[in-house]
Amino acid sequence: MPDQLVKLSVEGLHKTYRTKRPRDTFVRRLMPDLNSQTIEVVAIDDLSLEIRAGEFVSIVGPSGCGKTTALRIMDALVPADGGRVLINGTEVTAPRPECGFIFQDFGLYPWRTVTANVEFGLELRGMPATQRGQQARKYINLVGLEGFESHYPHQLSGGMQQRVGIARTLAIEPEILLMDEPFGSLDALTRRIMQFELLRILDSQRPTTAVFVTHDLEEALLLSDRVVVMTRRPGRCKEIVDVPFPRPRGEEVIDSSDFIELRRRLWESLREEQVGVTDEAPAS
Amino acid sequence: MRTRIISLVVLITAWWAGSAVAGDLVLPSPATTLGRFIDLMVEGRLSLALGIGLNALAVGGGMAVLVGVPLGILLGVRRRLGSAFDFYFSALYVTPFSAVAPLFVLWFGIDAGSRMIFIFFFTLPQIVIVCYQGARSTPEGLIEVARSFQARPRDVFFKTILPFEVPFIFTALRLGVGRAVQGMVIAELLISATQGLGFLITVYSATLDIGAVLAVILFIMMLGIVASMLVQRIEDAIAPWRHGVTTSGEASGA
Repeated sequence: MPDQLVKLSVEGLHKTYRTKRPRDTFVRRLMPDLNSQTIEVVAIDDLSLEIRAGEFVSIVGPSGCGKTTALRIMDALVPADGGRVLINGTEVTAPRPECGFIFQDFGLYPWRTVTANVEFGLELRGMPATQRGQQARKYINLVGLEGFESHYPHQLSGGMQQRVGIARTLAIEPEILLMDEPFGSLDALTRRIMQFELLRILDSQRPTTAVFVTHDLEEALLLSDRVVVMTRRPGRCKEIVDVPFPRPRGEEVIDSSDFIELRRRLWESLREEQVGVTDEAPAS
Repeated sequence: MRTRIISLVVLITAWWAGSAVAGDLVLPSPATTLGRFIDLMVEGRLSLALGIGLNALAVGGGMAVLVGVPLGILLGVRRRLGSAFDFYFSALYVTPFSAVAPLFVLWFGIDAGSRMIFIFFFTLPQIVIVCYQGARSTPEGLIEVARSFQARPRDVFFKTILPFEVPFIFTALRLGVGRAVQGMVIAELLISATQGLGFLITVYSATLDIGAVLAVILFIMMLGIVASMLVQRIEDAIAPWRHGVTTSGEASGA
């Protein structure tokens, strides 16, 4: 660890979702007071975490455990009902310039070319056009998309689209990367390639702090310094597993006996939580 | 293109067969209609009539676009405003304007100004509805992306909602042009039946010159097709990314 300073801390986070129960109109007419009955689902209950500067932490958990919600609260994209998030010691109330978010469905603007997409965050920060172009080129090259600068997203494969997403977020040079299952919608082969690409990219961007939400245990172990296992809903921190493999990490890590042993441990921990989670659990 | 030619050949053959059964006086054959069409073109009647209507079309239709596009977007962005007012435009859209035309005569007279106002109200709901739907359907995910990059509300509007709206504006224009041409003819038939394409239809119907009536109607159809193709061309030049977008559920031109 290059630095033991706490970069991002989550203290006693609590989140409840309220949804209106749909009623059929006949019942509604007979008993109008049932009209606005709400269902409360406690998504996160007292989640606390400390993430150190330069550290890569993955959050894994059964579906619906609130891991994506927790990540979104860290970037103030959704409000928490209790607890707080601190970045560099100050409380987060709105999306922060120190944070860069990478989305599962890429979130690219279909009307912008690769370059224009990568420039998006810089544009919002009022960077002059020439400087913006240089910065975009640097990160397009970093993610290996040179030659595709003037393509539109729909002309690219899923893996390439997420490369654009990564470049767009890295271009604002965030201190903290928040990634929400960024490879979750890619096929297995592309996902594996992108995992090693992310390792390579982040090795060149150190010290970047990263929080990575996934349900792929192998992915979590390959990328992380620590893996947080969350309990089933209402989600809280169940255990934290240290991942000791030295960096840079290569393909051989996955086949090592230590890796296989850690994966087995994580799987057993997660399987205890998955028991009792019904199929109708909403997406996390 | 090949499928279009085949469908056209089938249609014209059916028209021809129908005409052979019903007789040339009741349903003139494609050849008779084409003959009358050429006559009217050579005499300059069609272009003259169109020229008279075009002014009202341009002003009435243009105003409908200038008012309808911002209004539709406003209703789509301000949800409460939208739910308070959207149904008026749905109501206006299905209003039988031919039945309301006499009221326009009563209120605004029978000159070109009255026809402009008629075309404006006839075209407006179509444009408002399409732009409203577009602004409302901006994916939450894209707005969230902008927010994660600390976009201010005006950035969210100008860099996310408005660009997403562009294809909807073009769809509104394409449908609006057709609607405005219809409005022009209805106004000429029912408000001031002394000039224009609508007037030609009235005259030829009265003299049972069905071939000429069909020729005028064909001319109006061709106007609509050409105008909407023109809008499509402009859209392809301005918004080339649209071909990959599946959000509007409408296939792009062949």
